[in-house]
Amino acid sequence: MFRKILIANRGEIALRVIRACRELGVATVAVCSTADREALHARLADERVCVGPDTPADSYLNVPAMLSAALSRGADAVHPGYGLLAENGDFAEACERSGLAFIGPRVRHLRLMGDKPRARRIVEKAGVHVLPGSPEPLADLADARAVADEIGYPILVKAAAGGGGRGLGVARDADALAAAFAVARSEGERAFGNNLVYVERYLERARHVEVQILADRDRRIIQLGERDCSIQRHRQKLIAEGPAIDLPRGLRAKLAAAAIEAATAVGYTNVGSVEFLVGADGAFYFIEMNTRVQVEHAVSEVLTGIDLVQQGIRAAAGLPLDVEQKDVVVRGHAVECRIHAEPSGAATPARRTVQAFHAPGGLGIRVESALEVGDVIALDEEPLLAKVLAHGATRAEALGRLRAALAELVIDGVPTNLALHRRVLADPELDRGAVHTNWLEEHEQASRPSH
Amino acid sequence: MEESGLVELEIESGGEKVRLVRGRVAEAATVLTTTLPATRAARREAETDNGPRAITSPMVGTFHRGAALDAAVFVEVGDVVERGQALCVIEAMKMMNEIEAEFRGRVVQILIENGRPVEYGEPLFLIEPV
Repeated sequence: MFRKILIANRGEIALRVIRACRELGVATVAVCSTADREALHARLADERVCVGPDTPADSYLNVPAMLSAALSRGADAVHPGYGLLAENGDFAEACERSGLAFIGPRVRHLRLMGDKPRARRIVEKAGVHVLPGSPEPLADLADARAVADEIGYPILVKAAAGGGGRGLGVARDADALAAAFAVARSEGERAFGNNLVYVERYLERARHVEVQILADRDRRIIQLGERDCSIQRHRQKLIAEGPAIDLPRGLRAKLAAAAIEAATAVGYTNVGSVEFLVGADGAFYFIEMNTRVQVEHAVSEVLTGIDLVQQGIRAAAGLPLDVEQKDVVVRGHAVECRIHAEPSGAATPARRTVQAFHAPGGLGIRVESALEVGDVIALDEEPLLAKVLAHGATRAEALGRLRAALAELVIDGVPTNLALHRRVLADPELDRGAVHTNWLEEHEQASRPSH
Repeated sequence: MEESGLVELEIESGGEKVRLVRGRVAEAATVLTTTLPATRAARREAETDNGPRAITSPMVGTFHRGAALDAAVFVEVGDVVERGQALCVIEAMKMMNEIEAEFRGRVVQILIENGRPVEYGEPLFLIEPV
């Protein structure tokens, strides 16, 4: 086991990793920017290193500073959390070259899964369906039209280097394709310095279901069941729940098997999740694999009782999984809300200070947050402020607990999406059954107050 | 640098100068204590206009008072240093980065123990302008 781990992240995920390390008896080094010296993660860790000024590129994304911090404090491993440097193959490689274990999969897994067309080809070869689409990124509209004519509309247009819902558009005909193609190109160029685009079939009213994977370095790969993350806004996950309800008979086992096949095909190690789109007809398609601990990992943790962060640390240390597939039991139902800050109009100052924060609690409630009164929040980054999870014996019980918890949650001073969450949870249709990726959009349109 | 056999390398670009000196890799410090009180005191003193000013670390690394771990120290308390004179070395990623005085002044206090890790922005010296 490692002696000391540097956590190359901030916020709730940094706290989550620090807590896991404390339980494992491993010392921790937090990193911070000059603005975060007194942040909770910097105070909770055994040591704190300020790695740069208050611009992410110079601090939380500053690879030499991260490595220097780890080496000068005698850390032997680095945990990247999610976002920031978590899926950066160059960072993982630089860690390994500096003699620091990177807590995540191997460098080649990060590179492979970061290259979406290549990942698709490999997964397809392993026998898992992928959405019909352009096999390679496209540089010109005529090629995109040819692919679209072959697979049929509607078409999803994506910036090849995109992510987090950026550079995405849906086209229902050839004219719309031209417009979406131009947008994806320019957004890809602006945000990622890459103007290649690829297109694939767009599934309407599909469900986003992802399977949690855990693998050690001896090629033992297990799955911890699935999460349904269909309630999305601007293609960003808002609510996650598990298990996915009302799946066609036999589909849960098929998704689990496909996830294991995809992970096995690349010799995956550590924590990861395999994302699928499930069509209204029950057909399912591989979207991508997330090569890190996910924001939603806590849903799988409360359902199975397995600490995914600790297991990931163990796996990176070369220890075997201490849980077998037959021991994985999904108990009850869990639902998680992601409470984000959000920009609220042009007149709003870009930064706001948290005036009050109260986190709910009680049986079956888990809150993951690093928020404190006095924290200054940059709204345009739409940071995650808190994850609120409810676990119950049944879905109804979990939803009831979550409603009560959200009614109690207070975040003052910062505009958030809390009201939206409360509205979604109050919708009786949510209790009735399965949701899909267009559900929120359709409901927001239907329930928008008229002025 | 190791491969090329270089011992010292100076790069100047757009008015900024970086000097890299190859040196021994320091052993990781075994005893680590917090530097917070020193940092706070230094900041308070640094805020006054006429008093001593803090020289802060521009990077994360290990503080060396001389060119290498057991080399002669560059400056002592009481020394008057010229603008551009080397004060210490911050070792980061096996590179030795020389930190120079930004103004002429007298060294009032050396805030960091030789061989200790330092963070970005951490005060290293208090220097009184003369």
